[in-house]
Amino acid sequence: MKKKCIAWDLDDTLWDGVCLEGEVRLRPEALKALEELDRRGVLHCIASRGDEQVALRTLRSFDLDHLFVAHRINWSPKPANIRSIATELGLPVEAFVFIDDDPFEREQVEWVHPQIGTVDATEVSTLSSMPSLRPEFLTPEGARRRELYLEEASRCRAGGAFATPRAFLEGCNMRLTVRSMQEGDIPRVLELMTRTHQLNTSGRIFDREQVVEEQDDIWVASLSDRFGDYGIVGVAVVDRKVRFRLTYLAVSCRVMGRGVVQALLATLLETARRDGFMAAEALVRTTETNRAMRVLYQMSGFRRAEELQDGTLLYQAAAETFPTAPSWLEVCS
Amino acid sequence: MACALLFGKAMPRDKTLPLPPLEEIHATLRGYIEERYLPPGSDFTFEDDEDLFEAGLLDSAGLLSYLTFVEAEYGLSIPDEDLLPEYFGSVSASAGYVLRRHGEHTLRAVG
Repeated sequence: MKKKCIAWDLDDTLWDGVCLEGEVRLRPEALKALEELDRRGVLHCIASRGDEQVALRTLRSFDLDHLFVAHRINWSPKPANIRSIATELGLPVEAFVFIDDDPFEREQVEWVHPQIGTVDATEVSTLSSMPSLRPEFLTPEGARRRELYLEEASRCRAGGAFATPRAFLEGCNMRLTVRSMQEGDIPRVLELMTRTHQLNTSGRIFDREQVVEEQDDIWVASLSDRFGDYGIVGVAVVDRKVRFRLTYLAVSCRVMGRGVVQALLATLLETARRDGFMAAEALVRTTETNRAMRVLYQMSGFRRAEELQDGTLLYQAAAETFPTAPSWLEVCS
Repeated sequence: MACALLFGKAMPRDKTLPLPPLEEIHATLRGYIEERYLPPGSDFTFEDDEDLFEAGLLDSAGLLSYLTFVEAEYGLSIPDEDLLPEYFGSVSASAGYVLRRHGEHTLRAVG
């Protein structure tokens, strides 16, 4: 099947960095592929997570917005976004190639759309030599790529064998490790705290000194799955002096859609229960982007108890209503 | 052309229309989840009262997208205190919630 449209992820694919978090750098090899394929009549569109307005502004600043015929920039799963673009453009989903740096996103798109082609962002320069994107003639290199295509097709068929969403998640062999922060984690913890907005219960920005000072209260969660190791994806600060109070919880948006936040919360609360706490408290500082965290607490048995003087919301939950981690995540703590 | 495509958006439901019957709300909410979270032609079916979290269909971020859809589709603003599993844990729970909220609205409008 000839491919007619490339669906691009933006952050760490089209450009290096995350545009919601500051300056990004256009990847020259991505630009090259973009322009070369455009010359051949291949369409480009965007299927990316993030804030639509910020992303479009960034695209315009690179003067690239005119190269894309459609976009879905939101927090919905990418398979749905790609299908929606396909409908909009009147193309079959099989005519798409999806490029993204995240193996989970690619695999999920393949699972839902077994006929789609996916490309790792690090391979962007191979796009223009893909046989399905090169209609005029076949080179020896192109012939080899066709083999890769066939292999990929069979891998996609294997992906399509998952019968249910839960079976797909279970098949990912996700393992979440929750432990106390160590000295060596500090740079990553600071980075995560600065970069995470959507899944962050507080707008609080820690500096290195504060992290060192609160070292004993800080927990980190790292994730791995069959695609690889994501390193530390979550940070929590727990004050256990008088009562069990979760003052900070942040999880990287990269691992959204896998129940990681629920699992981290459940694991921390399990330590509370083990240590004899009959209830837990959690603080949420409402920001423009963190409604998902209020949703999380509300759906996890927490109820808003009061609003503190500085506007911070205090949530409480009794031990009987503590949530459990999703079954597809193996938790080690 | 490119601009029209770039900024084209689906039309939201006309809010002045009366609320559709319960079965239709069920179908709309199911459709939203099926379209986003299931492969086309999937054999997997879920019950209207199936726990959407247990089934691996929604997590807290997915639920946020779902809530945003419900709010836009039925012209509601859902306050934090209503974010409860008994209202949003399943398709039938959220359909019931929409109906109840709409009823309150209508009563207020009539009263």
